[in-house]
Amino acid sequence: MTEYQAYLKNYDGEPVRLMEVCGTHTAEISHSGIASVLSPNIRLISGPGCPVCVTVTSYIDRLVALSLEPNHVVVSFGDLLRVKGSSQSLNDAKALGGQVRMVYSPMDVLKLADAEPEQIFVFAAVGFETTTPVYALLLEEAQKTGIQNIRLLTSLKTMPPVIDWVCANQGGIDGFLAPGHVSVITGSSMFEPLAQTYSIPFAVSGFEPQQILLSIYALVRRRGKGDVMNLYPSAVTAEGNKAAQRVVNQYFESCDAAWRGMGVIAESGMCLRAEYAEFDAGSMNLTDDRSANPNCRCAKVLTGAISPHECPLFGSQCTPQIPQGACMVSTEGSCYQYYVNHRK
Amino acid sequence: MCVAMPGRVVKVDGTKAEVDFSGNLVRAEAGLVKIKPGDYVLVHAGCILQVMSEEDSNNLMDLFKEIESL
Repeated sequence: MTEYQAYLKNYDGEPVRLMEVCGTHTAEISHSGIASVLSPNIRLISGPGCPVCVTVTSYIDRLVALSLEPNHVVVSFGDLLRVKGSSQSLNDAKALGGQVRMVYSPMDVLKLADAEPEQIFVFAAVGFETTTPVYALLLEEAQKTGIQNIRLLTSLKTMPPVIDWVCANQGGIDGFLAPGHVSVITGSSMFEPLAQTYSIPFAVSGFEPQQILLSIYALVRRRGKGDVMNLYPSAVTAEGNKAAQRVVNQYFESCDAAWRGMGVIAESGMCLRAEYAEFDAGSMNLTDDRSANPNCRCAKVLTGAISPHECPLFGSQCTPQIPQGACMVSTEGSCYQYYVNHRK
Repeated sequence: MCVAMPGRVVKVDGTKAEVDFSGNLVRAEAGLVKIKPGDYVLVHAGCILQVMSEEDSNNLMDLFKEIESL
């Protein structure tokens, strides 16, 4: 056992609550059993880092409606297909004759759209700062090649405003495990204003269990200090990927965005710029959020207000086989990860 | 969803590249980075996001020492 592992196991100082705000971190923490090698005084809380989970139901409803329109095909990552809107998911729509296709990369749409020019291909563009550059590249390539039958339905989010929301509205967080792959694009310096405002440390972390443990150690040690620590230096720099930032800023601009459980947060999303409105499939004003099951507590789980175990549906009426909310559908959802890994 | 996988660049063709993930060869977009064959890169949703640094900069003991020196 390393020095920092022993420290984390035997820590008997003041209780510490740390939030991971990346769904991939949530998955790795759950899968590797990290929580079980920490002192009971160190509590890990999953935050709003799963883009599928924070997407509001009116967005899914719009995708469902588009898939059922003549000559329209909705294209999506697999995560989103089983997530229900106010009553139906994209898989449900497919069963009703809707056109829905799954891809691994947004760039796959180019080939689909080129092969079937009579169809409009609508990509379900969800994601955080990591994925937005890929959508920008897709549009750039579509323009270069003259492919005109591609649209985006956007629900793109940015991390700092939602972390700010958690700190301002909920509080009680002593450190943030900052998202490593978001930081690859934005740079670790993006978190400095938040760290300083709230005097909370941020540790930009890799995704191996040992890297996560070291980041937790750093956060416990630097509690109360507004530091940003880059502990994933092989991939993350202070300034990020400038080329990616440039292409994002060419096609997208900051806008207000609706989050499940938090409502509309100012300047927390990215929308297509007016000059590229021709690519938009109707993304504006999708703010309504009505869960199909009124007892679903996804919204409170997402903000770390409650643990998945505190939802009355968890593990009984809501399981990965019969999910009632997005947090149990996505493989990066807190409820899914707590359930399949028996995380306490 | 922000999952990204590290792989080794095998071939570069303009803004496209072939990346080796433990023997699986995958075509990826390379428009966001300057790369050459042999580079170790991070790929997300079919797009190379970053070239990983050559040296073992994730060495945990070095990072631990950095934390201790803060």
